[in-house]
Amino acid sequence: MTGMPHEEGKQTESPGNSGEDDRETYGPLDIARHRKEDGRALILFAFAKRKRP
Amino acid sequence: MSEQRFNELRGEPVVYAVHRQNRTFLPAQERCPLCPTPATPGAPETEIPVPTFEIAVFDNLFPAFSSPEGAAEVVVYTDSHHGSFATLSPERAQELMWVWRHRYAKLGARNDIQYVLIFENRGVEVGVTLHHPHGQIYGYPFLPPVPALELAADERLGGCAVCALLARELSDAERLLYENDGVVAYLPYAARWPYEAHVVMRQHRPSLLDCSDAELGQLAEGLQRLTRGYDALFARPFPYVMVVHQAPTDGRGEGHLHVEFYPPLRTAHKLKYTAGSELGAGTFIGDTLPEDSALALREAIARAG
Repeated sequence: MTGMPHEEGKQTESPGNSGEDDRETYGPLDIARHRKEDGRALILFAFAKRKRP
Repeated sequence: MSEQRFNELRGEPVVYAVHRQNRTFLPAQERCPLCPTPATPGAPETEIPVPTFEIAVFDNLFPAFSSPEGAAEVVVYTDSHHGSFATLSPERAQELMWVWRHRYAKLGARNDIQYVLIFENRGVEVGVTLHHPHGQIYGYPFLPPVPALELAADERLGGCAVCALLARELSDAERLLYENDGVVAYLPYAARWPYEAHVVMRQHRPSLLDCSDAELGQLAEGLQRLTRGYDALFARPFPYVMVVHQAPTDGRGEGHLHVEFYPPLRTAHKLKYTAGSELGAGTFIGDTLPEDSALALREAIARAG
């Protein structure tokens, strides 16, 4: 089977501490991770393609 | 924390999430938790504490599942309170496919998650509690009954059931709704709902992770053509439950990426209820033939463009 997430190895997401950004890219996405004050994760996605001239 | 029990008579898990009883229910726009937080000093903070965004995903405040026994996330499609999946720009819809793919990869990689379900409930008829355009993702700590049935169908048919059904629909042709290079949309031969529709990857793709960039764009296009057609069908916002079906993430079975829509309307103003036969016997009774519904929906999709 191709492309199964478990084949990539089990992972843990690691959002930053409260108020801190943890940035990455995924395909055409720019991703910014945040941690809300109550500990819940918030992830903001932007289409990187849009920013290219 | 939710409690999971096993219903022996039905052979299926039941989840109790009693904290969800008090979740936010149809707030006015000024109290919408999915809108961005205005830049105005002192403005009350929403779930998304920035003045603008494209797509936001966050842990559900009222989760049915939570770590270390699953996940429940909210996916906000836009910072605009109005509109729907159908009215997103094509670029935003394509971006959403990538967001779905990212969350499937990340949640599916967790040891405590065996199945990732991406879905959207649209309309009060299917129990939506927030009107802001959004969907949800559940990471189940077990393989739920419906994907298990799909794996059983693969075994029964001796290969990918979705591939076999797609070939039949393409051959019959009378229930086809829309096609592009990447997807085929049809109203299934044995649909349970009057206007049920499946948007199926033309090639065998177990999950979003197996799709090319072009296929993700074609999937977004197919989903938007269908949902715009739904809204055109009765000239009203068309309620539906939209569910992305793909491979379990625990390594069991393969699956075939497709998106199923379960709309409750049977006419512009009448609902198809799950009642005695559907709930008590598990047998859906239809008031219309899929071929007739497909004709009307196909025309609506063409009209809506």
